[in-house]
Amino acid sequence: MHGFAIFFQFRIVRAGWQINWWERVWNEDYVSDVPLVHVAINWLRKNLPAGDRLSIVHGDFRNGNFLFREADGEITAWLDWELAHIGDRHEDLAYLLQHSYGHYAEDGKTYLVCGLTDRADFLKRYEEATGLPVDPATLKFYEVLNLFKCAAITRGTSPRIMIGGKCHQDTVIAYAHAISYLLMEELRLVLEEVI
Amino acid sequence: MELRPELILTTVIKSLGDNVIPAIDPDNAPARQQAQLSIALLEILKSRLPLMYRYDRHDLKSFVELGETLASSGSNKEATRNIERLCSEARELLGRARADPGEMLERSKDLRRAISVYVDDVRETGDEHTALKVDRIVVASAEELTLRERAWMLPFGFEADPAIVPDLETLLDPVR
Repeated sequence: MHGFAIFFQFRIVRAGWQINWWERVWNEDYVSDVPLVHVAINWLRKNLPAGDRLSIVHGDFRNGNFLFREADGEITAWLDWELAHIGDRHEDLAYLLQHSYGHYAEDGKTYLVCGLTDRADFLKRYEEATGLPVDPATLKFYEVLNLFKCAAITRGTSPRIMIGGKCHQDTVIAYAHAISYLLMEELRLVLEEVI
Repeated sequence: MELRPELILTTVIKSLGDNVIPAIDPDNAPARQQAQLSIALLEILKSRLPLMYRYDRHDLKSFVELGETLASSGSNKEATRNIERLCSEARELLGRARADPGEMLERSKDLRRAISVYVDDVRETGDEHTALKVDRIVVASAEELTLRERAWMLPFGFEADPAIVPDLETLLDPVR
């Protein structure tokens, strides 16, 4: 039992398996390699956080991935659970912060997380709602991991799907690929901050 | 940049053939005919696009050879001198236009991969100071590359503020 607990602590709370997973996706799917992605992978391996508790992680947790009642705005279902796993709660939190899912306020300067509120207020409200503190270093780790994961999917896998020609939504996939360069820029900015 | 014209054309042709044409009213003959001809035209474009550069180079070379032959047998008139001048400029241009675009793309892929392997190798076998230095060089270099890709992809409409992305042509080196 003790060994099983250690296994969980290492395999699930620590995100090493996710780095391996998405690195393999990247290596199998990329059409042309990107050195920046390797800097990200190496940084992730060197900065694995320990994690403070096990949580259910959705893996694609963002606005757009839920259903709600128009009458009262109540969320009635969360969608797209195919990347769900047991892991660190900071992963979904960091995912929500990704710029692809929000936009700027009318002043053109304040970035609104998921179009709701600014980053500091968003994190403060998370802490208030959950009673759990946000660890900045862990949050940063998952920001890099999520950006790397999304870059692997959109920059690596999307063109591979188009080349394979086995999908009926190839034109949509082309648009998904176009997002990859915004993710790469966000990844570059976060790496510039942490390296 | 993976969305190269050949891949975009393949994708559009497949989407039209798989999804759009089957949905056209079978009794609307003009619409069906136009859709099928549109796909046929895109197929022609797709097959010829990779040869476009070689075609233009061959075309120029053919007229240089014809011009030189005519000029050598002609008199020293203004028209002859004009042909000689243009042939001389075109010869110099052909000398600069020897590499095939596909070859350039392959070399770029090779170099991207070699640099990525180098980044991993330094991180694995080098000291922390050197690895950090390499990482910082790569991150700094990505700024210009990412900006160019964003400018290229601007028409897709995902930029939160398109005004901050420079015009694509200002980011590409002039061909000389």
